[in-house]
Parts: sequence; structure tokens; C-alpha cells
Amino acid sequence: MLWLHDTFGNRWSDGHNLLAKTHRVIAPSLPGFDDSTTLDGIDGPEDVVFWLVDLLEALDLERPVVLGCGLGGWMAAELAVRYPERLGGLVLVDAYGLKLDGDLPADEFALTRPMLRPLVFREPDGVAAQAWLPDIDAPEQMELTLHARVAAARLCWQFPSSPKLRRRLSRARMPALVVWGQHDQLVPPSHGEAYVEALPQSRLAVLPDASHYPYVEDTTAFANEVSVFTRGLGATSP
Amino acid sequence: MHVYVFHLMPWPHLPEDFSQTHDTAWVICENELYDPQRGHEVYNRYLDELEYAEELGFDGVCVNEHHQNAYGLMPSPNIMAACLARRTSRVKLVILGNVLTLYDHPLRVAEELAMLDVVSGGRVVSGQVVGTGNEFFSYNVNPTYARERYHEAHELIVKAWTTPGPFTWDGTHFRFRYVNVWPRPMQQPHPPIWVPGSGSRETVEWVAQKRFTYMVLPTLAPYELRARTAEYFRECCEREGYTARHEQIGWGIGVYVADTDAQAVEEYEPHFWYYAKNLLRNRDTFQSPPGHSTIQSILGALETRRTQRPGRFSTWEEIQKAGFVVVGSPATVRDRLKEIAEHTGLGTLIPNFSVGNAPSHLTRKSMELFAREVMPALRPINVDEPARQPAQV
Repeated sequence: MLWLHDTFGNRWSDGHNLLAKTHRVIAPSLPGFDDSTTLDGIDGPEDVVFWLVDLLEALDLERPVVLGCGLGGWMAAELAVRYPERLGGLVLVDAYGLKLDGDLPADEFALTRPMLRPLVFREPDGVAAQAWLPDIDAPEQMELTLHARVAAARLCWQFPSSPKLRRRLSRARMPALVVWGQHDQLVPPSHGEAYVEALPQSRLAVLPDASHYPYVEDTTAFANEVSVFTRGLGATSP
Repeated sequence: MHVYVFHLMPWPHLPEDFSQTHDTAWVICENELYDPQRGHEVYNRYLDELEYAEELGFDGVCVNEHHQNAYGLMPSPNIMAACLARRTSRVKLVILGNVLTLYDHPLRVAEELAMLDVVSGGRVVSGQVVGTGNEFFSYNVNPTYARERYHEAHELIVKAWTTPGPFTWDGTHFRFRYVNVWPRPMQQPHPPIWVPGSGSRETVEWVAQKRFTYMVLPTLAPYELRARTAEYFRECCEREGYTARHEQIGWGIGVYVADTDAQAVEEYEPHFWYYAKNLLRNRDTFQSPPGHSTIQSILGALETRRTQRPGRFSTWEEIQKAGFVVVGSPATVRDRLKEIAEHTGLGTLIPNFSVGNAPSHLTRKSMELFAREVMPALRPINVDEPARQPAQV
């Protein structure tokens, strides 16, 4: 399983831990995040898609399940519509990517952490939320976060979507699971519904106890849904 | 030294409780707070103040560019400069936009400034600005391209002014098959270029290399930090193989003069707080979107910006001590400005006499006192010798 992270960067969560018990989870940092020092040549989703194709080839990954969260989900969908034959399955988690009239995601770059936290966590004052998205990063984390914010803004500034993605989703014919936290106010669940409507072989799992980060806030339900999905793939694959 | 009158043209009619009910005067501050009827009076009064500066003997007047906010009401500084071009005949028209990053048509900037330069008889100073973080939100420009767009637009505009057209610009952010700007600017090779900055090292280094004027902005930093920026600029010029001319160091600062120190503070202070508490009120996110400044600049400035913004202070003594403004009797203001000039080497003083919601009669009175009793004493300080002038590239 290839796990593509969201705009706040590549961080290992309890959700990763649970899935890693039964899957080989590979979590690369997208261009410009973490140790990736340059965004040169990365101007839009298509550039990331080519980067992902190179990655699949470099790691010799044969039709992996590609799971993407937020920004990562958008990039996974962009990959899936262009190279459907390269994916064994697609999992989108509270993903950016769709332009829905009158239903724009909140502007994560305009909101301070205390303003953003209630939109992305069901319990914004809970331990998990405070640890994942603190008001101010620990000093040793600060540079990494600033770095990640630049990479995120490069792709997600103001309108984190591709207007043409929705109509292209019919090309992504692999089995797909769309997981959404019911309380997500950054990317509302209507985006999950629209994904499922347009993806030919997909199912929507709305998690009632989660917001934008089900893999942080409702780890068990999240891992169960994903595991059920991937077990289904095993049963049907030749 | 040369003295140029600066103006922000702020909105002076925000509600009393603004700072309790709003977390920003920018980007999303609702425009229903703007009343066009009163706006008519406000614009014309502000323009009158700048025109009055010519009468009083100042060297120039400065307009600037901000978008969708109550802090400064000149989204098009070129329009304000056009208003002034025909109502003045001597002063320099310093345009401290244009925010080059915002325009997909930098040629429009080259054209409009050339028009103004020709109409005004060669009085234009071209400010070239990256823009505050807020503007990237208001104009939907991706801030991660801020620096590259700025530099490419700058190179294109200067080339459009100085290279015979038509030529082709096939750049990264801008592509023009035909660059052939009519009219050409009157000043040759092109109008002087000023670059305002709040201390980011990469900007200081670049301006020194280009031999332009660096204007140390008044808004965000206390005196000591700004003085260090001027010092760093002079160092960078030395490293480039020349000694900075005094006029290359521009110094923006709030100034207010009244008959006595006590009267000056009494008249100025309430309007300063309107400025500091309301107009500077902003979210960190709007000020500093990702990529707008380099990560090193942000890490370096983070603490200073957080703790030392004027809005974070609560007493006049703190404001005085930090040196955001120079307020007092003619003698006090004169002595302090002389001291600053000697310390920093500045040759381009850019006082802003109008603060927050100050009424026009106070602003005008302060300008008169300054022109009569302060300016003559500053004139002989930090004067450049004409022969040493390096050509601007």
C-alpha cells in the first residue's frame, strides 16, 4: 500500500500503525515536503502524477493500493484517472481535488491553528488533536512545518481542486473506497459523495466519530474499513 | 537630505468596537464598513494634503498599494499618482506600489508608469514591491512564486523601458511575443527605482546589488531593528564595491509636530492607537502566507514580529521607546531626526504626517510646522555629491 499524506506533511499516525500490521505500508514524502528540498518543476497535479509514476517504477510496486489523505487523496485520484492500470485499488480519505459549485473547502492557509482545529477534529481540544495540530509547533518541528506549508501551498493555494477531475473519474475503474469523517468541515462529506458518484467501482464509508483525520481520531474504524476493502481485493484478484 | 511626504490613505471611520469584533482589517474585513459618501470626502482631503506638500516645499509625495483592506485605500496607486500629476508641478511622484507579483500583465505597469512619467515631465519614482502577504490572498496569486514572479516582472519592466522594441520575452511566468511599450519613459534610462522592505535579507542584498534605493518600512519593527537593516544595506553596498549614497537609504517614519512635546503627544496619540489597534490588526496567516518570505527570514523574524508589532504595545511610553514614531515639539523632532540621520546615514526621509483617523487640520498643522521649523535643519545633513552618482542599471 502506497500512503500519500496531506498538506501538513508526512507523519506516521496510529492509523499507519494499525494498517502496517496487515499491510506493507510505504509512505513517501511528496515533492517539497520533508527532505525534498526543491519544488522545481512541480507546478500542478500533473507534475506530481509523473513523479508518482517514477516512484512506482523505482520501487517496483506492482498494482499497489494507493491510499491518499487530503492533498494525497487528490494526487492519488489524478494518478488513477491517468494510469488506472497501475493501481490495484484506490482509497481516498477526506480528499481534496473536486470542484463542487458552492461547496468550496475551507481556506486552510487563511486560518490560524486554533481556528482550523475545530474544522478538522471532532474533539479539537483532545489530546490527539492538540498533538497533531498544536497552536505552535515545537521549535525542532518549526522549520519542517514551514517547509511543508510551502509545498502544500504550491499545489493547494485557495482552490485545491482540478476543475476537470470530476468528469475524468470514470476512467478510474479500479475498486475504490472513499472514507470520510462525518464531521469534516475542511473538506465536507459532500466531496466524498461526489467522488463515489463518479468513481465506477466505489463505496463510501462515512465515519461518524471522525472529522478530517479519521486515521488520527478514529483509528480503529478507519483501519477496519480499509482492511475490509483490501481483503475484498485479495478475494477477487486473479 | 530629501524629504518626501508619505500617505497611507487609511479608512478613518471604523466602528468604535472594531478591535473587539474583528481579527483583521484585511482581506475579509467586510467592505460594508466602507461608506462611499464619506469616502469621497476622505479621498479628496488626503489628496489635498499631498498637494499641500508641494506648496510647503517638500521634495516629493508618496502613494502606495494595498488591496481589500481598511489600512490603505489605494488599490491603484497609479490612479492616485495620475490625480496628483496634473495638480502638482514640481514634486516627485513616488509610487510605492506597484506590487509586481500581482499582475499577469507587467507590461501594463511599464506602460502606466511611462505615461505618468511623460505627463508629469519626468517626476515619477517607480516603487517596485513584492507586496504584503495579504495581497496574495486578495488577488489569488500563489505566494510560493512570489520571489520569482517579482524578479521576472522587474527584469521585464526595466527591459521594456530601456531596450528598443519590439522584442520577445519568453519567460517562466510571463510570455510576450511582442514587447514594444508606447510611450517610453521620459527619465533616461528609466525612472528611479525604490524598493520598500521590512528587513528581509535577500531583498536588502538584491537592492544593494542593483544600486536602487532601499526604503526601510516603518510599520512592523522598532527603531533598533530598522537601524540594523540600514547598516546591513550599507555593508552589502560595500560588498558590491561601492559606498551607498545617502539617498539610497530611505526611511519611512510616523512624524508629528506641535508647539510643545505635551501637545504633540496629546494630539497624536489617540489617532496612533486607531492605527495600531485597528488598521494593523491582522492574522498571522494573512501576513505571512507560505513562500512569501524565505523560511530563514521567517524563522529569524518570527519572534520579533510576534512581540514587537505596534499593536502589541499598550502604552505610549513603549511606543516612544521602541522608536516607531517621532512626535514632539519642533526642537524635539529636529534633534531626534538628526540623530537618526547621523546614526543610519539616511538621505531620503519619508515622514507620514497623517496617522489613523487624525483630522486633516492636525495633519496640515504638523506638516506646516515641520516644513518651517524642522526641514531647514535637516537639509544640509547627508547630502550626496552629484559626481559620485552611480548609474542605475
